[in-house]
Amino acid sequence: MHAGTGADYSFASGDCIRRALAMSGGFLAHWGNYSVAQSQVAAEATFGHTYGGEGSHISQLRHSDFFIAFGHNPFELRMSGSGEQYDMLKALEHRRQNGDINVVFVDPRYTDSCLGKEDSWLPIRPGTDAALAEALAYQMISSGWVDANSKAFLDRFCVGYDQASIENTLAENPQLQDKYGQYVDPKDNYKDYILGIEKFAGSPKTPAWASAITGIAEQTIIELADKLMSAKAPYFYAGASCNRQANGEQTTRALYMLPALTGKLGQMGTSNGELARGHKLNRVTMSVGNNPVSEQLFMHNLIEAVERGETMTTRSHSLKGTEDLDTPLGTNVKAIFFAASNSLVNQQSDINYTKRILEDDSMCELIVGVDCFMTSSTNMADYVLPATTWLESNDLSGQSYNSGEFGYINFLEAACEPMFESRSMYTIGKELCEAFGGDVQTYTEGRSEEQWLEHLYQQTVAANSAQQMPANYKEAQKVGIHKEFAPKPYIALQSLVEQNEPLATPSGKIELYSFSWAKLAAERTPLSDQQIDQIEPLGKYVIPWQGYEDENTKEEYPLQMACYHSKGRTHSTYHNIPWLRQAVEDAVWVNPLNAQGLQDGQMVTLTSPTGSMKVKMKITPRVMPDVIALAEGAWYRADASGIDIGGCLNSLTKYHPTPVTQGNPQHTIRIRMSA
Amino acid sequence: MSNNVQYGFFVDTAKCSGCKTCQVACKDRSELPTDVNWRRVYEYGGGQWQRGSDNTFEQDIFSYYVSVACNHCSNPVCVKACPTGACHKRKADGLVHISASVCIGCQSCARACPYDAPQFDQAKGVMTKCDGCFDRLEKGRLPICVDSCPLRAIDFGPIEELRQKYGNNMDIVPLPSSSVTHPNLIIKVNVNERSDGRILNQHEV
Repeated sequence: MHAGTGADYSFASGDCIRRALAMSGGFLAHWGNYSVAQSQVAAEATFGHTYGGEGSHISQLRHSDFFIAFGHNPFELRMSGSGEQYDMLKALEHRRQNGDINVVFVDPRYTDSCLGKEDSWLPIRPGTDAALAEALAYQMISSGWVDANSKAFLDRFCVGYDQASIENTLAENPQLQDKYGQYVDPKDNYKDYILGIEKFAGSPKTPAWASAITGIAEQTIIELADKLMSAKAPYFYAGASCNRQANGEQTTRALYMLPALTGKLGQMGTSNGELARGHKLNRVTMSVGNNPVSEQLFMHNLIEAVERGETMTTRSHSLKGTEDLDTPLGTNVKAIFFAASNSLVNQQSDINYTKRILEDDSMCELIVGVDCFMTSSTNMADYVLPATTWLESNDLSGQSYNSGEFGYINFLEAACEPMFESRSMYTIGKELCEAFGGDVQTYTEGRSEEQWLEHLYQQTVAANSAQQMPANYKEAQKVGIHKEFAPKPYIALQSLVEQNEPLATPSGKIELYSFSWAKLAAERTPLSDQQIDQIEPLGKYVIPWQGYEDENTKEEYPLQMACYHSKGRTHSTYHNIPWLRQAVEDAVWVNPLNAQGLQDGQMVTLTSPTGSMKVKMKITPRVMPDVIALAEGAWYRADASGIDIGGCLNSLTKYHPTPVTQGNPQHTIRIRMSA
Repeated sequence: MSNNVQYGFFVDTAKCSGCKTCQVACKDRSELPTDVNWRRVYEYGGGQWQRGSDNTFEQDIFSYYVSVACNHCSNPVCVKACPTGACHKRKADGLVHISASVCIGCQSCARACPYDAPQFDQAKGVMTKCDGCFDRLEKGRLPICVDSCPLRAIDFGPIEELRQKYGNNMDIVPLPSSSVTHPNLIIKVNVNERSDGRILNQHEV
């Protein structure tokens, strides 16, 4: 059963299909996500935060004097009128009127988050943010600034800055020593690594070193470090685009080092680099029920599991729910269900690989899609079960996973009866359960649709005890929406710094050196012996395959490609709306320096090591030279020769799971462009 | 709605992020064909890149967006250009309308208007344009582009009231000089405004 986020409802969502399968013998579930898998494990390793979205409220910018965002672009990613975009605009307007703030965007594109809101834009080569972070750290440490300003903070709240901190932390905590000691080498410490001394002798992470990698001038890096050191309340934001890279786990960790190094975490106006926390109202959703199959697959590994699930293990593929590290899944995936999702084909790395596997009926024998649109994924299905749209639905929807500091629950009211053969996903699940001879009674729990809605509503009310909500679901539908702005400010790591509450990391401290990753490195089989495939306990700049410095591909594929979220759809949802396609053109951005002999608006062919596409070209100075940029989410459509003419960037991406979490590296692409 | 006022728009180009919600909401309200934009959003930008000997870059890139519809001008050149009287300026609210039943689709108004406001509807064979959401105004509501803007970057109302609130500036690159038609438009100018760029999204407008 594959993931889908297209219909995030309480009642008739993809969970109904999972529930039907659970009541009919069970199914292989997935864990994780495509979006922020690498930053989630990085946040867990560093701060003990499993969600990766525990950065301070973005409105803390009202109290900050320095904001640096790496690969973060809320004005294209979160462009709602009540979300993070708006919160950020209001906070910056307020701060500019009531003080001063230096705003720096680090991104290969001059994004719509800039447009004059920034003090400086630093164009950076994709996948090299960690090198910039390390050069900033080098300036902070080598100048003596850390010793004079933040060493006390590092000693008290962090582990891994220097050799002594690792040795002392292990010595103070025998349980930690027992569990992790054998995997730990205290010589692997951050200070020695950055300065290029001791174990790391000969490779200091100087601004000159980072300059050649990132494309940012040495003097600019030195000046940026000076600003960082003089900031009283620096707010760091490591955007999710940094995580969706071949080296995303390491890059995100390397970026998280900086806020720790300033020693100012936990104070007003600061943040720790994680995605900003939003405000949420709770919403209870349909339970999947008791699935008899305990094993879970990381979602990015599904297609591979069709080919070799039989031998996949936790050691090789980070499965969950297996008996031990080496007990294999034991079977290849033979049937796939997906609901409210175009991720099976369109949003998964390497469409050409996906197609080859899924088109072979001897491998995957059955594919069933449930959707209200015919998409590039339903085109691959043996059966398409038409689901109702939001216009035909009574349901509860909410603020999703990040809508800024404005929490809400919508109470949908159907505008019309289900049209033609469409049914709600609840009904589809029920009928599947009947057809499979499953336990229909447990599926329905004896409730009608109306009773389910009331049941889920009452549970939702109970889960929001601080809220005054209507008495029943019918009354709530008349109100339409229940909303609340975050009632109090939230500052990342304030409880650690002010109340000394330990974090959920093994040491309870901010781990510049991750004890859990030191151990994990011994429990996983890397994909290769290349550095990019290793799990390293220190956050480091690692050269990715198809990265700027990748010797294997840089000659043949001279351009790097940056990928971003289009304003014209949410991932792939609504790509089929002509008004949106006209308003936000899908075209590859090319810098004038790389467009000699080419005309704005002409078609070009992009070829990567895994595939090719034909796409319209837009010549614009808003993307840095030697980097081209394409929005994700356009629907895959192949011509007779197999070239994608739909503009889906996964025609070009590589399937190559990241070492810690099997995450997707879709922003790491090298390209050859031709007319 | 009071009589004999002149309505107009205010656009804050410092807030606007070019999301096109105004453009699409307008199409939705008026059920416009895909290639007809009563409101459109120009992406203007430029600047130079210098490649250093060490393959680092220096640049002075800038960009900003300008959302514009019909400015219901005080000197409506479209009205003057119309041979049939279909294109007319209403006395009560100063809105410029086109009567579809009178329009012969000659497109003279479109050629005259420097803002590209009148748009030809191929299927209907007539000119169409922003009508100031007069039906919404009658119900005490604001035009759909104003109400839909996520960043609250557009406002609408009696132009004298807007001028008191937002000032008198009517110009920003790349819009034509306001001296031609005296638009009922107020612009808050983005800090990035320069004149050495170009419209970067010709294919979207």
